[in-house]
Amino acid sequence: MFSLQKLFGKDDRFFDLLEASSQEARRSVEMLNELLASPSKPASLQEFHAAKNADKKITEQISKALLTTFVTQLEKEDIEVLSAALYRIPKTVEKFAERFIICASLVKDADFMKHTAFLDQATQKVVGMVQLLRNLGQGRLDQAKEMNGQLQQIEGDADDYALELLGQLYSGRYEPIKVLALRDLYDLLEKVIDRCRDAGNVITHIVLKSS
Amino acid sequence: MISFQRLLGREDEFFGLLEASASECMAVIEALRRIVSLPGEKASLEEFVTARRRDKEVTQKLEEMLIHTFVTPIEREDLEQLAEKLYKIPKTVEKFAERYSLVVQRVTDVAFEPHAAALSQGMGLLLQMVKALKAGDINAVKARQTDLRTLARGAETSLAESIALLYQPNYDALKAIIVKDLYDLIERTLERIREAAAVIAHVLLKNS
Repeated sequence: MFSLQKLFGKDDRFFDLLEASSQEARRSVEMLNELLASPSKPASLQEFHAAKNADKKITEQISKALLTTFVTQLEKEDIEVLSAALYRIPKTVEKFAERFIICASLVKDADFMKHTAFLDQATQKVVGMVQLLRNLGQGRLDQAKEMNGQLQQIEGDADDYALELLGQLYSGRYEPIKVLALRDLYDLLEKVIDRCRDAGNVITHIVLKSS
Repeated sequence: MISFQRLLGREDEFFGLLEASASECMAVIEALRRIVSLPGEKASLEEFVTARRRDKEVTQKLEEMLIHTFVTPIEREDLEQLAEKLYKIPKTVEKFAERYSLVVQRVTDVAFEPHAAALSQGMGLLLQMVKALKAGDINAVKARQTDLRTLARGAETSLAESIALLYQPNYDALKAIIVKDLYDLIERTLERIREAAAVIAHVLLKNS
């Protein structure tokens, strides 16, 4: 049957898919936080692969749907850019998990608790910001700007903390091989938070355009 | 009253913002040159943070203008991309400065000055390209891009020679890691400059 709703883009599926993608990103971070909380527990990469693949499937569904939908509430390019930005979160998380498992014996005494908190806060903000897109209208821009400001703050605090840790690594207190392993892991955690910030920037840009 | 200039584009404002962004990049690279010319001295990061923030403000202003302007002097995606590439330059330089200030006492005998000088020259060429973009002068852009390529090749060779020293058997392993991290950030800054230059060349070619 010919659907006017489909033709004029009143279809909610893009919002559903983008929200699902952000939830997958959050889920991958929750798994990562579990891994970091108990580094001595035998870890498996399978669940990280599964989370990333689930998000990849959503991203592919979005791409496909964009090709077959005539009009969308959000601009097609924006949906595509946001979908790619969201997918990069579990992808980077998976990369971190791979490295962490490889060098687990070298870094088992490292404390990642603060990182865990930053990751948790950042992904929560991303999930919340994606939900803003469903009902664009009055007041949304202020909300998006406020949430994005908070996300930028989290990213800034995480950067400061990363620099503090780097200072410790460069101090000569640790074996060079441990410095190498930890520096790479810290860099990847920084990248995960950067990916969340990127997603936040894309969302703010979309809201700004619709304001 | 309806202003057609406002409706149809704010060319000078767009190009002015791009130039302002490139000038902030130049300022931050000059600050980098200053700190590496005083080995062993703890550097203040304030000017790096301030310059990067100023550049961010310029980039945000440009993004907002892009949304609210009907016609842009060049395609909006290209303007967005160029602004983003320019913003990444002070960001990467700030990262170098932060890390350098952590280890300033450990790297007193490492000569970062020639590498910083190459960045400064490269940024000077990029700034000229941004100005040539406004004038639509494709010949000037192409000539500066060729200069930049030649400069970048020389800078990369010089960096590779410096990195080779770190792999000598008796070199302190921790110091090698630290210095290599710093060299990587210099290389990344050079890449950012080249990427911004490539966007400008692409834009002018498209519109020629």
